[in-house]
Amino acid sequence: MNLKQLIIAFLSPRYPAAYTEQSIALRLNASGLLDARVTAEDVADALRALHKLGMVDLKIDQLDNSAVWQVTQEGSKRWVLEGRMTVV
Amino acid sequence: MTTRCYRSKIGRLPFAVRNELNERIRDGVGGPEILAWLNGLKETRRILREIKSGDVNAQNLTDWRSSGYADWLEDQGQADRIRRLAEMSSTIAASAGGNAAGVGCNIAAAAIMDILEKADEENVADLAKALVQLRAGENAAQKLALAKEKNAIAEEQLSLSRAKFERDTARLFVKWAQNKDAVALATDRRLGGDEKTERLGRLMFGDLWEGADDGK
Repeated sequence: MNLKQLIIAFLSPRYPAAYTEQSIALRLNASGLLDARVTAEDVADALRALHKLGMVDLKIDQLDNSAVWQVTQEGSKRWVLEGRMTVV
Repeated sequence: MTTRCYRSKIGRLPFAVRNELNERIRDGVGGPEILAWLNGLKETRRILREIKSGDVNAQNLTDWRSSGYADWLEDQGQADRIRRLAEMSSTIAASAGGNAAGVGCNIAAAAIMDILEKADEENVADLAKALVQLRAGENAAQKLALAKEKNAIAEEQLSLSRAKFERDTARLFVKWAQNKDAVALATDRRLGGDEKTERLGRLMFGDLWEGADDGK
């Protein structure tokens, strides 16, 4: 499983919850599923690539301008096709 | 999520094939039917050629049920649990008064998810119950505050009405104190209290006094 697949495996079952890049990095590192630790920047790069593929959405909270990411319907479909693996 | 390495014939098959196989087992498709399907796949033929092995047989399928399929089921259970918690988090976030489709609500749902995921099953149920009760309590408190506000408004209106009545009465007194007929009636010692009231009423209010009830 690469980082992009793990991000989808993290976000999909948690929809509609939306997470920051830092939160995602923290949870993926804690999952023990990665060979090496990832930074929030690594996650941001992967999220941008997934965004281009229509798998995730970037949302901005008007209150504090924080950016959060949420899986799209397309991303959820891919998650189901890939066996609904879940990052716990 | 768990990543496991399976060395069996079925375990060496591509992920997508194993996934479909698991779904067929879960859906109750019979063994012979599954084996016919599985051994007929191009991917299966290729893997079996690579490992120089015969067809996947009933024993291989039985072994798979207790290993890879059991793990897959466990993963599915985890996915279902996380989804249930996500639904619960979203409901709780929205019940706090936010727009369920709004970003703020989605961020709040993520924060609630973090808490629920750390709790065990029993605690989650208790926590959800407590949150629902808290929400019910908040609603009751809001209703009470609203009722108090309505009462305060009613009291204020009553107080204003009373003040207006007092001002109007004082003005009326000043006006009629300058009326000779009224003063004569009010100071006529031959008349009793009720009689004075009756006559002054007729003088001051004319026809409007007719039928007026003094509440006695």
